[in-house]
Amino acid sequence: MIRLVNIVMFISVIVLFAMVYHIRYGADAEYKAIRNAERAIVKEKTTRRILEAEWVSLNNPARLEKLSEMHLRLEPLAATQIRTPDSFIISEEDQIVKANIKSDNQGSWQNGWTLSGERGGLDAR
Amino acid sequence: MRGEVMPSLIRPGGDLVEATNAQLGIRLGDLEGHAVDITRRRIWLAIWVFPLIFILLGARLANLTVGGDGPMSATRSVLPQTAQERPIIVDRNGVLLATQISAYNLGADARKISNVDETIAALAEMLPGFNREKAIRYLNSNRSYVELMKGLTPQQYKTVLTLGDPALKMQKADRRFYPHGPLASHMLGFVGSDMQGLAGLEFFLDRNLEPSVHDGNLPVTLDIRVQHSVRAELAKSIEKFSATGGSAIVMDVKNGNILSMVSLPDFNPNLTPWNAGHQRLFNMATLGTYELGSVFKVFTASMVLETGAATPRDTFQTSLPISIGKHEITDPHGEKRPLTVGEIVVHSSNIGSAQLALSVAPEVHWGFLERLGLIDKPELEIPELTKPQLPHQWGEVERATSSYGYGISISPLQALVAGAAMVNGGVMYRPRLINDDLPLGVRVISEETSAHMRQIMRAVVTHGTAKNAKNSKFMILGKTGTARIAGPGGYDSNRLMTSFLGAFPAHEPRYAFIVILQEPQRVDGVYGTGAGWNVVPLSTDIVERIAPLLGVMPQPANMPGDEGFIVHKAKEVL
Repeated sequence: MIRLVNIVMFISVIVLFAMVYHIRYGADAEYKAIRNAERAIVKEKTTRRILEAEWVSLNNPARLEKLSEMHLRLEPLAATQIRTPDSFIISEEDQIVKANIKSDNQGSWQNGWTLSGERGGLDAR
Repeated sequence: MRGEVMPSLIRPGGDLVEATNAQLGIRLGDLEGHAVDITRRRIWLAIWVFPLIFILLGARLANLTVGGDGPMSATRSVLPQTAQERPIIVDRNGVLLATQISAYNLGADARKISNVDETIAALAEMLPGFNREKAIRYLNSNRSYVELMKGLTPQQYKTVLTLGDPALKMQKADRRFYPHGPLASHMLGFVGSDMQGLAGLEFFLDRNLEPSVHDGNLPVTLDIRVQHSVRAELAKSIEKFSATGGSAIVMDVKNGNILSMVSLPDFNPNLTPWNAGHQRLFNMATLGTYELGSVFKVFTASMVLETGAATPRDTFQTSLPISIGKHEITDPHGEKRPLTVGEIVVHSSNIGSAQLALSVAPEVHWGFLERLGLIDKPELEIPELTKPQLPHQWGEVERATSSYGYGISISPLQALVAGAAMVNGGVMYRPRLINDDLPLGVRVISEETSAHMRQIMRAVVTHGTAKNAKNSKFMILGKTGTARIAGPGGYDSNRLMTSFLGAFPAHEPRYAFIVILQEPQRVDGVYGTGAGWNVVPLSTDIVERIAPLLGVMPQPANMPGDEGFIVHKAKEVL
C-alpha cells in the first residue's frame, strides 16, 4: 500500500514538474513578447515626445510672428478689427425687413400660444 | 544502555580492551528487540514524512501552475521605472511647455582621435551649436575621455554614428527640453544635469507629491499665447526706453490663475541656465521688492472707504504741503484745491493720500495692509518669493509715506493680488500656477467699496495720470506709480521705477495686470519719464493684444462706455 502511494505520488510530482516546465516555457515566451512590445511602446513614445517637442518648437509664437512679419506682413489683431453682429450698420431696407420678421415672429408666437390656446404654426420653435 | 557507545574495560597494567556482551551481562535477545524497534521507527518515518514531502511539493507545483501572481507573472511591468521621470508641463490649452526627451552626450577618447581637424570639421557640420574652440582644446588634451557636446537628438546621434570613428563615444542621457526657450523661463524654472529641479515650477515639483499630474501631464494656468504677447511688448518697451529691466503679470481676478508672468531680462532654460548670470535669473515679478509709489494710493483710498473713515464725497485740503516732524509732504503737480477721496487717487495727490492714511488708527492701517497680504510673504508654486521690506516703526511719517508707496517695498505679485481684489468685488484670491482645486479667496473689502474703486481707477484713465490708455476699446482701469529708486545717497530723481496696476474690461473686470519698468529713460517724441508716458502705453499695447485672445470684446463704437463711471469731485462730478 505504502509503495503504491509513493509510486502514485512520485508519478504525480513528475507530471506536475513537466506541466510547470511547459507553462514556464510558455510564460517566458510571452514575457519576452511583452518585453519587446513594451520596448516598442517606449521607443514610439520617445519618438512621439521628440516630434511633439519639435512641433511645438516650430509653432513657437515668437517664431511664427517673425515668419509672418517676414513673409506675410501680418500684424497683431487690432481692437478696431473686432466687430460684434450688433455693431454692423445695415441699410434702411434691411432694417425694415428685420423689423417685419421680428413682428411676424412675435405675432405668430402670441397667436399660437395666447389667442387660440392651442399650439400654432410655430410649434417647432 | 541502548544507544550508548560500547563500554571498555581496563586491564591491570593499563591496557584498554573491548568488553564482551557476556562480560557486560547483556543477552542476545535484548539486542534483537532493540534492532526491531529502530526498524519500526524508520518505517513509520517513511510512511508519514515522505508523503508529507510529496504533498508539499505537489501543492507548490499546483500553486505555480494554476495559482495567481507568481514570480513569473506576465502582468507585472518588464521595464525598469526610472526615478527621474518628470511630468510633462502643459499650458491651460494643452500646449507643451516642458518635456523630457531622449538625448545623448557626445564624448571622445582624445588619445585615439586620428585626425583632430577633420573630426572637428565633420562634427561642426553635423551639429548646430558645436563649440569648435572647446573641441580643439579638449581633443588635443591627450585625455581618455572628454565631453564635446551635450543633448544630441536621436537624429544627431545617428548622424554622428555614420562617421564610424571608434574614438567618439556617445552616452544616453535624458534631458529636459523647453520648446519655447526663454518664453516662460522664470515661471517654469529649470533642472540641473541630474534632473533635479533647481528653480521655478521644476523646483516645486520635486518637493510636492504631484497631486495635479494626470497621465504624466501637469497643466498649469499659463496661456502661452498671452505670455508671448506680454513678453514681446515688454521687450519692445524695454528697448525703446532703454530700461534696465521690466516685469509684467496677468491674472484672472475670478480665481487667481496666473495667465502670464514675465521678467526681463530672462534666460534660456535649455542652455545651461545656471551660467546665465544673476540679473537674468532674478525674477523681478516675485523675488524683487520695490517701492511702487502711487500704486499704493489705491489701497489707501479703499482702506478709508472700507473702514468708513471717509466717504466718497468727503474732501481733503491739498493746497498746501503738510509737515510731519521734519518730513514735508508735497504734490509735484498738485491741483492746489480740496479733493475728494476719488480725486486724490485720480490726480495722485501725496498730500491727500497722507491725510487719508492718518485719518485711521495706526493698527487699523497696519491691519488693512496685512489683510491685503502686503505684510507677509506671498504664496505661489515657485520658490522665488520674498518677504516685503517694511518700515522699522509705524509712526506718522511711515504711515503717511507708505500711503503713497514709499518706505514699504513689495513684489509686483503682491500688488497685483491685492489690486485684483480692489476691482473684482472685494475677494482676494490666492495666486496660483497650478489649477488643481477650487480657488482660495477671502473677502477683503465690500462689494460697495470695490465698486467705488472701479470707478476711481477708471477715472484715473479718463481724467488722471493714465490718459494714454483712454482710447483703448477694451476699457482699461488702473493706477499709475512713478517712484524714485533709493540709492546710497538717498532717492535718485534720475532713476525711476514706473508701474501700472490695472484691469479690464472696466465694467466687470475679468483680468488684472501689473506692468513695471525699471529705470526707463526719456526718448524723443515722448514728453516725460513718468509712468503715464511709458508703462501706460505699454500696458495698453499689452491689453490690445491679449484681450482678443482671452475672449474680451472691445467696447462697441456706438456705446459711450464710460456711463456709470462717476467719481465725486469737490462740489461736482468728474
